[in-house]
Amino acid sequence: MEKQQKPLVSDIMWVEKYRPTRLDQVINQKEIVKGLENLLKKPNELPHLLFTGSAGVGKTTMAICLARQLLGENWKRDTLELNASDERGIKMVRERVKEFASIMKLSINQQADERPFKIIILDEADEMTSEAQTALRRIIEDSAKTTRFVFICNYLSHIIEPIQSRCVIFRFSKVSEDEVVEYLKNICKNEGVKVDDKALHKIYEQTNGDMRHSINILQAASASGNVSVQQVQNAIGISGRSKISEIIDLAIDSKFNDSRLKLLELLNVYGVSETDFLRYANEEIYKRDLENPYEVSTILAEYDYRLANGAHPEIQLAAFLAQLGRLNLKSRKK
Amino acid sequence: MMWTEKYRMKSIDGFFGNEKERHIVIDWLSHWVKGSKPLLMMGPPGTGKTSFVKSLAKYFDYDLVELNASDLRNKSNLEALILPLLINSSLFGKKLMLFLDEIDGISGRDDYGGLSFLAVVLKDADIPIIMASNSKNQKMKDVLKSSKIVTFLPLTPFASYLLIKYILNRESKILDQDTIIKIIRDARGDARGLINGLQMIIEGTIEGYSKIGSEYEIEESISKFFTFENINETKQMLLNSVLQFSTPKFGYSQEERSRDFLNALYNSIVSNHKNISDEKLANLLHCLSEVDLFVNRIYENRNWRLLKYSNDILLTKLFKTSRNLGIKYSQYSIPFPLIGTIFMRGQSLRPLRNALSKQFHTSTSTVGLFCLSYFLQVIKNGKFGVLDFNSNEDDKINEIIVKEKLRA
Repeated sequence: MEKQQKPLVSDIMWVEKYRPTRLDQVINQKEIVKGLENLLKKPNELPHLLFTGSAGVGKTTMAICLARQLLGENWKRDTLELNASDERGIKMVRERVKEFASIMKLSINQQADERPFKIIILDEADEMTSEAQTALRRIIEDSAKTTRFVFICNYLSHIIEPIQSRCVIFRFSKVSEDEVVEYLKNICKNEGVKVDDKALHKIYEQTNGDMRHSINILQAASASGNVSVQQVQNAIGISGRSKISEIIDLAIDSKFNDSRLKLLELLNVYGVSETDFLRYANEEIYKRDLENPYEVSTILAEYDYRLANGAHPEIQLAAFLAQLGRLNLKSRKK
Repeated sequence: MMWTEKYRMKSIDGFFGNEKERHIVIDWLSHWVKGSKPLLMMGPPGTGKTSFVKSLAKYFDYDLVELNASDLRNKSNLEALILPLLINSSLFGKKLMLFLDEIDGISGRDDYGGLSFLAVVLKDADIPIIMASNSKNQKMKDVLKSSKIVTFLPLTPFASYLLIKYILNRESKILDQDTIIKIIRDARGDARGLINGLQMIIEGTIEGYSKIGSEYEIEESISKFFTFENINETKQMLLNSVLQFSTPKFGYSQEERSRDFLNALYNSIVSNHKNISDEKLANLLHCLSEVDLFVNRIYENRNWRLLKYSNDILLTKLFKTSRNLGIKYSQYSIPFPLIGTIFMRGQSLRPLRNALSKQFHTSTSTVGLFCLSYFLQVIKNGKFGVLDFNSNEDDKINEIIVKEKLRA
């Protein structure tokens, strides 16, 4: 069949098409780019790295750039990308990481000064159980000759000390509005899309500098070749993220069952994790004009704890939604 | 004597069911020479594995050395027990056979090194070794590789029927056909369950015996839970109920799900939400969530002895608040047509979500939050044909996309 004719998803989706492939193409995080480029000058001395910062600021992108530049053409073969929020237990460390780290020790005669030739990128490493993180300690050391680890996390405090101490830590800053807008404008120019400044502002307001989310909104809104505020608004409305806002609204309105149904859809159809739901639900609480958001946040924290320690996730989340409905928050707005 | 012991088959030809499998075992033993692979009998409980090995040893005149889950089977223990047998087998005079029962019960933690040691020993044994196991697991893969495996199946209804007839004959009793069929159905091919069920009915010690909860019994228990006036009476009822505490977090079967007490309470409460005030509803679910916490702690720490308090805690938290609310049993918390679409679409989208998570270098949850719907929108907007996901599931994923495009 016409195998070559099939378009690649990574060519269709702008978020991949415009993902930088070299460190010097990364628009922000100048200090980090400089630091990494310096480290790359002596590849055999490259330390393990730990990238921390909020979502969509370029942590994974930089890790991939680094892999490309260090490993060259075969970077994909020699890079293991794992997302700890999908496989978070010790099994993942033992079966995937350990195996990947040990296979290559046999495959090549190691010279003392040879450069590392395998990279393991552990994304969302803060989602790993501490048991799994502990199991990594030895692997990191045993495979140090051949392998470099790049840990990526949102919250540095969730990474155990022994791993932190084995890595050079880079803290990523938020991407500013100017940087986001400039990048999005460039994309629009390339794609021949007309865009409204207000629409770009709207995107930034919504995503708070999350590049992945920004570019996805832009593309979904660009169907007509023209991106307006209204189209951005429409595009924002379809995401799983905005479902969370709807769920919280319904719950606050004491529409328990409607909010529960939407939640089940979010978890099952969109595949969003329970913990991610609560994480963004917490953001939503502070976006609303509540008299005492801290009270609500405290309740949420309690159920987040129970989610981690309870047997039935659905019972815990439903109980949380019912709590929101009882508080009568609507009549108590500021 | 309990009937399961009384009717444990003692002679090699007295068994019911698994004729072919038993032949394989006999065949293996009669052709056994040094260097033959050891035999692994797989099969659910109550299919006669242990009894058969015992009768086999007797028939072929072997001394049977048996180790089961009650023995500590770590490396040094096994070494101390097995090695002398293997090396000095000829000195014992009589022929020896080693029987390792319940090898799936060899624990990773307490029996450290046990399985890997076994795998080594099995390769070159001087005596016949037979193992039995209810299930396969990852830890056993070396053992599986070096063994001849024979799988015992649950007793067929016909074999079950013959077994019942045999026992009835021996007891000089008769039983109506319907009861026999019920016993066969409830035991689901477990000979032990079959014999227990039969004993309970014949000896009449326990009336209305039931092994597996039927829908009716679950419904009855939940209804009683929400309507009984007296808390002590409710506690007594729960003791005899088929409902159980379990946790879906560690994965559970369809049967466990249907008997899951907390799940049944939850479904019943939320499907009656219309009749319950917001305040009450929040309160009930909060209490349920507390018990849920307690139950999971038990599971996580394997503190099974604490399970006996679960009913008490549940009653303390939930009994008073749930009186007079008219809560009725419901198996599903959502009308089925609705939950059907949610779960079916969720299931069918899964390969797409996984493929996008690889493409976008991010977790599946992030895909759900920030990518999936935008991707589908872009696909709907554009005129793309078949897409390349660089995955071996490409065809399947493209089918999913076509389906999604057709959705309004």
